[in-house]
Amino acid sequence: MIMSLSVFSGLIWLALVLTIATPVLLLALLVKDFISNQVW
Amino acid sequence: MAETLTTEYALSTELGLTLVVLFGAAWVLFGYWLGRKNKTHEDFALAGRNVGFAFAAATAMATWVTSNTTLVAPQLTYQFGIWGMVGYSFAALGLILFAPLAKRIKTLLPNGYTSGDFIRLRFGRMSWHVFIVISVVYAFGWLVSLGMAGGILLEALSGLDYHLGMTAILIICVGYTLFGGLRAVIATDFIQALIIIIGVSVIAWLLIDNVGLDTIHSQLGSDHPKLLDVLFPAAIMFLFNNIFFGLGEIFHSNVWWSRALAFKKNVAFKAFLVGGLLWLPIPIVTGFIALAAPQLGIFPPSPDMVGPTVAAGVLGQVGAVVVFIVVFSALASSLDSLLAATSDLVTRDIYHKHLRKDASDGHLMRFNRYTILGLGILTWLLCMPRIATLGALLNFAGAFVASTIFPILLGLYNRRLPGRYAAAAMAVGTAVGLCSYFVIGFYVAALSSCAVSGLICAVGVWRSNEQFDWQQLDEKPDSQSPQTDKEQLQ
Repeated sequence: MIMSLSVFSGLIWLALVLTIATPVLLLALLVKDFISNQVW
Repeated sequence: MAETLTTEYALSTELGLTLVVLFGAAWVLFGYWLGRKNKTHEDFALAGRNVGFAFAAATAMATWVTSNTTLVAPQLTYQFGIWGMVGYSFAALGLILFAPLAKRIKTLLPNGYTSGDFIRLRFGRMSWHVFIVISVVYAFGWLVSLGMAGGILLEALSGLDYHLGMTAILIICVGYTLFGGLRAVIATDFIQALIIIIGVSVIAWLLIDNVGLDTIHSQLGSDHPKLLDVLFPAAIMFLFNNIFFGLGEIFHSNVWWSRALAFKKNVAFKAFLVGGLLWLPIPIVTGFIALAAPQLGIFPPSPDMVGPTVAAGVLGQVGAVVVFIVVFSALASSLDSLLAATSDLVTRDIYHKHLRKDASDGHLMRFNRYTILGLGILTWLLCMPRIATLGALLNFAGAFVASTIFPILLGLYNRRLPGRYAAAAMAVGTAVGLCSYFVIGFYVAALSSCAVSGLICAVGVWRSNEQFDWQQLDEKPDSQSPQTDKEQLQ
Protein backbone atom coordinates (compact mmCIF):
# COMPACT_ATOMS: atom_id res chain seq x y z
CA MET A 1 0.00 0.00 0.00
CA ILE A 2 1.60 3.27 -1.18
CA MET A 3 1.52 6.31 1.07
CA SER A 4 -0.50 9.09 -0.55
CA LEU A 5 1.03 12.44 -1.50
CA SER A 6 -1.05 14.34 1.08
CA VAL A 7 0.03 12.07 3.96
CA PHE A 8 3.63 12.14 2.74
CA SER A 9 3.67 15.95 2.48
CA GLY A 10 1.89 16.35 5.81
CA LEU A 11 4.43 14.13 7.56
CA ILE A 12 7.44 16.00 6.15
CA TRP A 13 5.99 19.48 6.79
CA LEU A 14 4.94 18.60 10.34
CA ALA A 15 8.41 17.27 11.13
CA LEU A 16 10.03 20.34 9.60
CA VAL A 17 7.87 22.86 11.50
CA LEU A 18 8.46 21.06 14.80
CA THR A 19 12.19 20.96 14.12
CA ILE A 20 12.29 24.69 13.33
CA ALA A 21 10.46 25.48 16.61
CA THR A 22 13.10 23.70 18.70
CA PRO A 23 15.92 26.31 18.72
CA VAL A 24 13.42 29.01 19.69
CA LEU A 25 12.27 26.92 22.66
CA LEU A 26 15.82 26.06 23.75
CA LEU A 27 16.93 29.69 23.64
CA ALA A 28 13.85 30.79 25.59
CA LEU A 29 14.62 28.17 28.25
CA LEU A 30 18.21 29.34 28.49
CA VAL A 31 17.17 32.97 28.91
CA LYS A 32 14.73 31.89 31.65
CA ASP A 33 17.45 29.89 33.44
CA PHE A 34 19.85 32.80 33.07
CA ILE A 35 17.41 35.29 34.57
CA SER A 36 16.66 33.03 37.53
CA ASN A 37 20.38 32.14 37.91
CA GLN A 38 19.68 28.44 37.31
CA VAL A 39 22.00 27.80 34.36
CA TRP A 40 24.44 25.64 36.38
CA MET B 1 24.91 12.98 -12.93
CA ALA B 2 25.63 10.24 -10.39
CA GLU B 3 29.18 9.97 -11.64
CA THR B 4 29.69 13.70 -11.30
CA LEU B 5 28.30 13.79 -7.78
CA THR B 6 30.36 10.93 -6.49
CA THR B 7 33.70 11.79 -8.05
CA GLU B 8 33.76 15.61 -7.92
CA TYR B 9 33.55 16.83 -4.36
CA ALA B 10 31.27 19.64 -3.25
CA LEU B 11 34.00 21.22 -1.12
CA SER B 12 37.65 21.66 -1.89
CA THR B 13 39.98 19.76 0.41
CA GLU B 14 41.41 23.08 1.63
CA LEU B 15 37.97 24.41 2.62
CA GLY B 16 37.15 21.13 4.40
CA LEU B 17 40.37 21.30 6.38
CA THR B 18 39.86 25.00 7.18
CA LEU B 19 36.40 24.26 8.62
CA VAL B 20 37.79 21.43 10.73
CA VAL B 21 40.59 23.60 12.10
CA LEU B 22 38.29 26.58 12.84
CA PHE B 23 35.61 24.51 14.56
CA GLY B 24 38.18 22.39 16.32
CA ALA B 25 39.99 25.41 17.74
CA ALA B 26 36.71 27.02 18.83
CA TRP B 27 35.49 23.92 20.68
CA VAL B 28 38.82 23.22 22.37
CA LEU B 29 39.20 26.84 23.57
CA PHE B 30 35.60 26.86 24.81
CA GLY B 31 36.24 23.58 26.65
CA TYR B 32 39.37 25.00 28.22
CA TRP B 33 37.50 28.13 29.35
CA LEU B 34 34.70 26.08 30.93
CA GLY B 35 37.15 23.66 32.51
CA ARG B 36 38.59 26.40 34.75
CA LYS B 37 35.58 25.97 37.04
CA ASN B 38 36.30 22.29 37.68
CA LYS B 39 37.82 22.05 41.16
CA THR B 40 36.82 18.51 42.16
CA HIS B 41 36.34 15.16 40.44
CA GLU B 42 32.59 15.62 40.93
CA ASP B 43 32.82 18.93 39.02
CA PHE B 44 34.73 17.26 36.22
CA ALA B 45 32.64 14.08 35.95
CA LEU B 46 29.17 15.41 36.83
CA ALA B 47 29.35 19.19 36.30
CA GLY B 48 28.85 19.70 40.06
CA ARG B 49 25.44 17.87 39.87
CA ASN B 50 23.84 21.24 39.17
CA VAL B 51 22.88 21.46 35.49
CA GLY B 52 19.81 23.65 34.78
CA PHE B 53 16.80 22.83 32.59
CA ALA B 54 17.86 24.54 29.32
CA PHE B 55 21.29 22.90 29.17
CA ALA B 56 19.81 19.62 30.41
CA ALA B 57 17.12 19.42 27.70
CA ALA B 58 19.55 20.52 24.99
CA THR B 59 22.22 18.01 25.97
CA ALA B 60 19.67 15.16 26.10
CA MET B 61 18.52 16.04 22.60
CA ALA B 62 21.91 16.88 21.07
CA THR B 63 23.64 13.77 22.41
CA TRP B 64 20.91 11.62 20.85
CA VAL B 65 21.40 13.45 17.53
CA THR B 66 24.46 11.60 16.37
CA SER B 67 26.02 10.30 13.22
CA ASN B 68 23.13 7.84 13.44
CA THR B 69 20.58 10.60 12.96
CA THR B 70 22.45 12.57 10.35
CA LEU B 71 24.07 9.73 8.37
CA VAL B 72 22.31 6.46 9.30
CA ALA B 73 18.72 7.82 9.24
CA PRO B 74 19.16 8.85 5.56
CA GLN B 75 20.88 5.50 4.90
CA LEU B 76 17.95 3.56 6.39
CA THR B 77 15.42 5.74 4.59
CA TYR B 78 17.30 5.03 1.37
CA GLN B 79 16.98 1.30 2.11
CA PHE B 80 13.60 1.06 3.88
CA GLY B 81 11.75 4.13 2.64
CA ILE B 82 9.32 5.98 4.88
CA TRP B 83 9.49 3.29 7.57
CA GLY B 84 13.23 3.87 7.74
CA MET B 85 12.76 7.47 8.84
CA VAL B 86 9.60 6.99 10.90
CA GLY B 87 11.11 3.92 12.56
CA TYR B 88 14.23 5.86 13.34
CA SER B 89 12.25 8.68 14.93
CA PHE B 90 10.70 6.13 17.32
CA ALA B 91 14.09 5.96 19.01
CA ALA B 92 12.88 9.14 20.76
CA LEU B 93 10.89 6.79 22.98
CA GLY B 94 14.17 5.87 24.62
CA LEU B 95 14.66 9.43 25.88
CA ILE B 96 10.99 9.91 26.76
CA LEU B 97 10.74 6.65 28.73
CA PHE B 98 14.04 7.35 30.45
CA ALA B 99 12.52 10.51 31.98
CA PRO B 100 10.83 8.73 34.95
CA LEU B 101 13.87 6.49 35.34
CA ALA B 102 16.13 9.55 35.55
CA LYS B 103 14.03 10.93 38.39
CA ARG B 104 14.19 7.57 40.17
CA ILE B 105 17.95 7.31 39.63
CA LYS B 106 18.48 10.79 41.10
CA THR B 107 16.39 9.81 44.13
CA LEU B 108 17.86 6.35 44.77
CA LEU B 109 21.49 7.23 44.05
CA PRO B 110 21.98 10.82 45.21
CA ASN B 111 25.74 10.22 45.46
CA GLY B 112 26.08 7.83 42.51
CA TYR B 113 28.46 8.45 39.62
CA THR B 114 27.73 5.81 37.00
CA SER B 115 25.32 3.15 35.77
CA GLY B 116 27.95 0.63 36.89
CA ASP B 117 27.51 1.89 40.48
CA PHE B 118 23.86 0.92 40.30
CA ILE B 119 24.46 -2.56 38.88
CA ARG B 120 27.21 -3.24 41.44
CA LEU B 121 25.12 -2.14 44.41
CA ARG B 122 21.81 -3.57 43.22
CA PHE B 123 22.83 -6.89 41.64
CA GLY B 124 26.38 -7.66 42.79
CA ARG B 125 29.63 -8.65 41.14
CA MET B 126 28.46 -11.26 38.61
CA SER B 127 25.95 -8.90 37.02
CA TRP B 128 28.46 -6.08 37.18
CA HIS B 129 30.98 -8.10 35.12
CA VAL B 130 28.39 -8.90 32.44
CA PHE B 131 27.20 -5.29 32.45
CA ILE B 132 30.72 -3.88 32.07
CA VAL B 133 31.37 -6.15 29.06
CA ILE B 134 28.11 -4.96 27.46
CA SER B 135 28.91 -1.31 28.25
CA VAL B 136 32.42 -1.54 26.84
CA VAL B 137 31.29 -3.30 23.63
CA TYR B 138 28.55 -0.72 23.15
CA ALA B 139 30.78 2.24 23.99
CA PHE B 140 33.45 1.15 21.54
CA GLY B 141 30.85 0.25 18.90
CA TRP B 142 29.45 3.76 19.18
CA LEU B 143 32.84 5.47 19.48
CA VAL B 144 34.14 3.65 16.40
CA SER B 145 30.90 4.38 14.53
CA LEU B 146 31.32 8.08 15.34
CA GLY B 147 35.01 8.19 14.46
CA MET B 148 34.30 6.41 11.18
CA ALA B 149 31.44 8.79 10.45
CA GLY B 150 33.84 11.74 10.81
CA GLY B 151 36.16 10.22 8.23
CA ILE B 152 33.27 9.29 5.92
CA LEU B 153 31.83 12.80 6.10
CA LEU B 154 35.04 14.56 5.19
CA GLU B 155 35.75 12.11 2.42
CA ALA B 156 32.23 12.39 0.97
CA LEU B 157 32.23 16.18 0.98
CA SER B 158 35.79 17.23 0.32
CA GLY B 159 37.70 14.18 -0.87
CA LEU B 160 39.93 14.38 2.19
CA ASP B 161 41.44 11.03 3.07
CA TYR B 162 39.20 9.02 5.45
CA HIS B 163 42.00 8.48 7.96
CA LEU B 164 42.83 12.18 8.16
CA GLY B 165 39.21 13.24 8.77
CA MET B 166 38.67 10.55 11.37
CA THR B 167 41.88 11.54 13.18
CA ALA B 168 40.90 15.23 13.18
CA ILE B 169 37.48 14.75 14.79
CA LEU B 170 38.92 12.46 17.46
CA ILE B 171 41.67 14.94 18.37
CA ILE B 172 39.16 17.80 18.67
CA CYS B 173 36.65 15.92 20.83
CA VAL B 174 39.33 14.39 23.07
CA GLY B 175 40.83 17.89 23.40
CA TYR B 176 37.84 19.76 24.75
CA THR B 177 36.52 16.85 26.86
CA LEU B 178 39.96 16.54 28.42
CA PHE B 179 40.02 20.22 29.38
CA GLY B 180 36.42 20.83 30.34
CA GLY B 181 34.90 17.54 31.51
CA LEU B 182 31.11 17.15 31.54
CA ARG B 183 30.55 20.91 31.91
CA ALA B 184 32.26 21.50 28.55
CA VAL B 185 30.43 18.56 27.01
CA ILE B 186 27.03 19.93 28.07
CA ALA B 187 27.72 23.55 27.12
CA THR B 188 29.04 22.60 23.67
CA ASP B 189 26.01 20.31 23.28
CA PHE B 190 23.73 23.33 23.62
CA ILE B 191 25.46 25.24 20.83
CA GLN B 192 25.79 22.10 18.72
CA ALA B 193 22.05 21.39 19.16
CA LEU B 194 21.20 24.82 17.74
CA ILE B 195 23.61 24.39 14.83
CA ILE B 196 22.28 20.90 14.02
CA ILE B 197 18.62 21.89 14.04
CA ILE B 198 19.03 25.10 12.08
CA GLY B 199 21.28 23.36 9.53
CA VAL B 200 18.99 20.36 9.05
CA SER B 201 15.96 22.64 8.65
CA VAL B 202 17.73 24.77 6.03
CA ILE B 203 18.75 21.70 3.99
CA ALA B 204 15.24 20.19 4.07
CA TRP B 205 13.61 23.53 3.28
CA LEU B 206 15.89 24.15 0.28
CA LEU B 207 15.36 20.58 -0.93
CA ILE B 208 11.59 21.04 -0.89
CA ASP B 209 12.01 24.39 -2.62
CA ASN B 210 14.37 23.07 -5.31
CA VAL B 211 12.96 19.62 -6.01
CA GLY B 212 9.42 19.63 -4.57
CA LEU B 213 7.60 17.08 -2.44
CA ASP B 214 5.22 16.10 -5.26
CA THR B 215 8.12 15.39 -7.64
CA ILE B 216 9.89 13.24 -5.07
CA HIS B 217 6.64 11.40 -4.27
CA SER B 218 5.73 10.69 -7.90
CA GLN B 219 9.26 9.56 -8.78
CA LEU B 220 9.36 7.18 -5.81
CA GLY B 221 5.84 5.91 -6.56
CA SER B 222 6.75 4.95 -10.13
CA ASP B 223 10.38 3.80 -9.82
CA HIS B 224 10.79 2.77 -6.18
CA PRO B 225 7.28 2.04 -4.79
CA LYS B 226 8.69 -0.10 -1.97
CA LEU B 227 10.13 3.04 -0.38
CA LEU B 228 6.61 4.45 -0.02
CA ASP B 229 5.04 1.14 0.97
CA VAL B 230 3.38 1.42 4.38
CA LEU B 231 3.36 -2.40 4.66
CA PHE B 232 7.05 -3.09 3.95
CA PRO B 233 7.56 -6.16 6.25
CA ALA B 234 11.33 -5.92 6.81
CA ALA B 235 10.92 -2.19 7.48
CA ILE B 236 8.15 -2.72 10.03
CA MET B 237 10.32 -5.30 11.79
CA PHE B 238 13.10 -2.72 11.73
CA LEU B 239 10.79 -0.18 13.40
CA PHE B 240 10.13 -2.45 16.40
CA ASN B 241 13.75 -3.52 16.54
CA ASN B 242 14.81 0.12 16.60
CA ILE B 243 12.50 0.93 19.50
CA PHE B 244 14.08 -1.80 21.65
CA PHE B 245 17.54 -0.90 20.48
CA GLY B 246 16.98 2.74 21.46
CA LEU B 247 15.58 1.75 24.85
CA GLY B 248 18.55 -0.52 25.50
CA GLU B 249 21.05 2.11 24.46
CA ILE B 250 19.64 4.76 26.75
CA PHE B 251 18.59 2.63 29.73
CA HIS B 252 22.03 1.05 30.22
CA SER B 253 24.49 3.66 28.99
CA ASN B 254 26.43 5.79 31.39
CA VAL B 255 26.10 8.63 28.89
CA TRP B 256 22.49 9.02 30.11
CA TRP B 257 22.99 7.95 33.71
CA SER B 258 25.76 10.51 34.20
CA ARG B 259 23.42 13.17 32.82
CA ALA B 260 20.57 12.10 35.12
CA LEU B 261 22.98 12.36 38.05
CA ALA B 262 24.41 15.70 36.85
CA PHE B 263 21.08 17.51 36.41
CA LYS B 264 19.54 19.57 39.22
CA LYS B 265 17.14 17.62 41.45
CA ASN B 266 13.85 18.60 39.83
CA VAL B 267 15.20 18.87 36.29
CA ALA B 268 16.00 15.26 35.32
CA PHE B 269 12.44 14.13 34.48
CA LYS B 270 11.35 17.12 32.41
CA ALA B 271 14.73 17.48 30.65
CA PHE B 272 14.62 13.95 29.23
CA LEU B 273 10.94 14.29 28.34
CA VAL B 274 11.43 17.57 26.49
CA GLY B 275 14.70 16.36 24.94
CA GLY B 276 12.90 13.30 23.54
CA LEU B 277 9.98 15.29 22.15
CA LEU B 278 12.36 17.75 20.50
CA TRP B 279 14.35 14.91 18.97
CA LEU B 280 11.31 13.06 17.55
CA PRO B 281 10.91 14.93 14.22
CA ILE B 282 14.63 15.25 13.39
CA PRO B 283 15.19 11.78 11.80
CA ILE B 284 12.15 12.37 9.59
CA VAL B 285 13.70 15.59 8.32
CA THR B 286 17.18 14.07 7.81
CA GLY B 287 15.75 10.83 6.40
CA PHE B 288 13.60 12.72 3.93
CA ILE B 289 16.75 14.13 2.34
CA ALA B 290 17.67 10.60 1.20
CA LEU B 291 14.31 10.10 -0.55
CA ALA B 292 15.35 12.70 -3.11
CA ALA B 293 18.34 10.57 -4.18
CA PRO B 294 16.61 8.49 -6.89
CA GLN B 295 14.91 11.58 -8.33
CA LEU B 296 18.30 13.28 -8.59
CA GLY B 297 20.00 10.24 -10.07
CA ILE B 298 22.31 10.00 -7.09
CA PHE B 299 23.61 6.53 -6.28
CA PRO B 300 26.26 6.97 -3.61
CA PRO B 301 29.15 4.51 -3.44
CA SER B 302 28.18 3.66 0.16
CA PRO B 303 24.61 3.96 1.54
CA ASP B 304 25.77 5.92 4.60
CA MET B 305 26.97 8.72 2.32
CA VAL B 306 23.53 9.30 0.82
CA GLY B 307 22.53 12.19 3.11
CA PRO B 308 25.62 14.36 2.63
CA THR B 309 25.82 13.50 -1.08
CA VAL B 310 22.21 14.52 -1.79
CA ALA B 311 22.48 17.77 0.17
CA ALA B 312 25.74 18.68 -1.47
CA GLY B 313 24.45 17.66 -4.91
CA VAL B 314 21.28 19.76 -4.66
CA LEU B 315 22.54 22.75 -2.77
CA GLY B 316 26.06 23.07 -4.16
CA GLN B 317 28.95 24.41 -2.12
CA VAL B 318 26.80 26.31 0.40
CA GLY B 319 24.76 23.15 1.05
CA ALA B 320 27.92 21.14 1.43
CA VAL B 321 29.28 23.62 4.00
CA VAL B 322 25.98 23.44 5.93
CA VAL B 323 25.99 19.62 5.85
CA PHE B 324 29.58 19.58 6.92
CA ILE B 325 28.95 21.83 9.94
CA VAL B 326 25.76 19.97 10.93
CA VAL B 327 27.26 16.49 10.81
CA PHE B 328 30.46 17.68 12.42
CA SER B 329 28.42 19.15 15.31
CA ALA B 330 26.28 16.01 15.60
CA LEU B 331 29.34 13.80 15.75
CA ALA B 332 31.08 16.01 18.29
CA SER B 333 28.01 16.24 20.54
CA SER B 334 27.91 12.45 20.86
CA LEU B 335 31.61 11.67 20.75
CA ASP B 336 32.41 14.03 23.63
CA SER B 337 29.55 12.60 25.72
CA LEU B 338 30.68 9.06 25.12
CA LEU B 339 34.30 9.85 25.93
CA ALA B 340 33.27 11.55 29.18
CA ALA B 341 30.79 8.85 30.23
CA THR B 342 33.03 5.89 29.38
CA SER B 343 36.03 7.44 31.12
CA ASP B 344 33.84 7.99 34.20
CA LEU B 345 32.88 4.31 34.10
CA VAL B 346 36.53 3.22 33.88
CA THR B 347 37.66 5.69 36.56
CA ARG B 348 34.85 5.09 39.03
CA ASP B 349 33.84 1.46 38.51
CA ILE B 350 37.10 -0.20 37.61
CA TYR B 351 39.84 2.03 39.03
CA HIS B 352 38.33 3.59 42.14
CA LYS B 353 36.03 0.79 43.27
CA HIS B 354 38.26 -2.16 42.43
CA LEU B 355 41.89 -1.09 42.12
CA ARG B 356 42.55 2.08 44.18
CA LYS B 357 39.86 2.52 46.82
CA ASP B 358 42.03 5.07 48.66
CA ALA B 359 42.63 7.29 45.61
CA SER B 360 42.34 11.01 46.38
CA ASP B 361 39.95 13.32 44.57
CA GLY B 362 42.77 14.99 42.63
CA HIS B 363 44.21 11.60 41.69
CA LEU B 364 40.83 10.45 40.32
CA MET B 365 40.46 13.64 38.28
CA ARG B 366 43.91 13.08 36.74
CA PHE B 367 43.15 9.40 36.09
CA ASN B 368 39.84 10.40 34.46
CA ARG B 369 41.72 12.69 32.07
CA TYR B 370 44.29 10.01 31.19
CA THR B 371 41.41 7.64 30.50
CA ILE B 372 39.81 10.09 28.07
CA LEU B 373 43.12 10.29 26.24
CA GLY B 374 43.51 6.50 26.26
CA LEU B 375 39.98 5.97 24.94
CA GLY B 376 40.66 8.44 22.15
CA ILE B 377 43.80 6.57 21.10
CA LEU B 378 42.09 3.17 21.26
CA THR B 379 39.14 4.45 19.21
CA TRP B 380 41.56 5.86 16.64
CA LEU B 381 43.26 2.47 16.29
CA LEU B 382 39.91 0.67 15.90
CA CYS B 383 38.76 3.20 13.29
CA MET B 384 41.84 2.76 11.11
CA PRO B 385 40.43 -0.18 9.14
CA ARG B 386 37.03 0.88 7.80
CA ILE B 387 35.35 -2.32 8.88
CA ALA B 388 31.60 -1.96 8.28
CA THR B 389 28.88 0.45 7.24
CA LEU B 390 27.66 2.58 10.12
CA GLY B 391 24.23 0.94 10.23
CA ALA B 392 25.65 -2.59 10.41
CA LEU B 393 28.10 -1.66 13.16
CA LEU B 394 25.42 0.02 15.19
CA ASN B 395 22.86 -2.76 14.93
CA PHE B 396 25.45 -5.32 16.02
CA ALA B 397 25.58 -3.48 19.36
CA GLY B 398 21.76 -3.75 19.55
CA ALA B 399 22.05 -7.41 20.56
CA PHE B 400 24.09 -6.36 23.60
CA VAL B 401 22.23 -3.33 24.88
CA ALA B 402 18.65 -4.58 24.49
CA SER B 403 19.40 -7.35 27.00
CA THR B 404 19.84 -4.71 29.73
CA ILE B 405 16.37 -3.12 29.41
CA PHE B 406 14.50 -5.39 31.84
CA PRO B 407 17.32 -5.84 34.38
CA ILE B 408 17.66 -2.04 34.63
CA LEU B 409 13.92 -1.40 34.70
CA LEU B 410 13.13 -4.09 37.26
CA GLY B 411 16.28 -3.28 39.20
CA LEU B 412 15.07 0.28 39.69
CA TYR B 413 11.44 -0.48 40.51
CA ASN B 414 11.19 -4.08 41.73
CA ARG B 415 12.75 -5.36 44.95
CA ARG B 416 12.53 -9.05 43.99
CA LEU B 417 14.78 -9.46 40.94
CA PRO B 418 17.93 -11.28 42.20
CA GLY B 419 21.41 -10.50 40.85
CA ARG B 420 22.01 -13.97 39.37
CA TYR B 421 18.87 -13.69 37.22
CA ALA B 422 19.85 -10.20 36.10
CA ALA B 423 23.29 -11.51 35.09
CA ALA B 424 21.76 -14.50 33.25
CA ALA B 425 19.21 -12.25 31.52
CA MET B 426 21.93 -9.96 30.17
CA ALA B 427 24.31 -12.79 29.16
CA VAL B 428 21.75 -15.13 27.56
CA GLY B 429 19.80 -12.25 25.98
CA THR B 430 22.97 -10.97 24.33
CA ALA B 431 23.89 -14.45 23.07
CA VAL B 432 20.45 -15.01 21.54
CA GLY B 433 20.49 -11.49 20.05
CA LEU B 434 23.84 -12.18 18.39
CA CYS B 435 22.59 -15.51 16.99
CA SER B 436 19.55 -13.71 15.53
CA TYR B 437 21.81 -11.04 14.07
CA PHE B 438 23.84 -13.61 12.13
CA VAL B 439 21.09 -16.15 11.34
CA ILE B 440 18.10 -13.89 10.55
CA GLY B 441 19.29 -10.30 10.14
CA PHE B 442 20.33 -7.13 11.95
CA TYR B 443 16.73 -5.97 12.24
CA VAL B 444 15.80 -8.65 14.81
CA ALA B 445 18.93 -8.63 17.01
CA ALA B 446 17.67 -6.17 19.64
CA LEU B 447 14.14 -7.58 19.55
CA SER B 448 15.15 -11.18 20.33
CA SER B 449 17.76 -10.11 22.87
CA CYS B 450 15.20 -8.05 24.79
CA ALA B 451 12.53 -10.79 24.63
CA VAL B 452 14.80 -13.51 26.04
CA SER B 453 16.21 -11.21 28.71
CA GLY B 454 12.68 -10.17 29.73
CA LEU B 455 11.62 -13.81 30.02
CA ILE B 456 14.54 -14.67 32.31
CA CYS B 457 13.84 -11.61 34.46
CA ALA B 458 10.16 -12.61 34.73
CA VAL B 459 11.17 -16.09 35.96
CA GLY B 460 13.58 -14.45 38.42
CA VAL B 461 10.91 -12.18 39.88
CA TRP B 462 8.40 -15.06 40.02
CA ARG B 463 10.76 -17.46 41.83
CA SER B 464 12.43 -15.00 44.19
CA ASN B 465 11.48 -14.01 47.74
CA GLU B 466 14.16 -11.31 47.91
CA GLN B 467 13.20 -7.85 49.20
CA PHE B 468 16.01 -5.51 48.22
CA ASP B 469 16.58 -2.55 50.55
CA TRP B 470 16.73 0.62 48.43
CA GLN B 471 18.85 2.33 51.08
CA GLN B 472 21.77 0.15 49.99
CA LEU B 473 21.99 2.15 46.77
CA ASP B 474 22.77 5.36 48.64
CA GLU B 475 26.53 4.96 48.85
CA LYS B 476 28.04 7.80 50.86
CA PRO B 477 30.70 9.96 49.17
CA ASP B 478 34.34 8.94 49.72
CA SER B 479 33.14 5.88 51.60
CA GLN B 480 35.64 3.05 51.49
CA SER B 481 32.56 0.87 52.07
CA PRO B 482 34.36 -2.47 52.37
CA GLN B 483 31.38 -3.89 54.18
CA THR B 484 28.88 -2.75 51.60
CA ASP B 485 31.07 -4.08 48.82
CA LYS B 486 31.58 -7.39 50.54
CA GLU B 487 27.92 -7.84 51.27
CA GLN B 488 26.69 -6.70 47.89
CA LEU B 489 29.25 -8.36 45.73
CA GLN B 490 28.55 -11.89 46.93
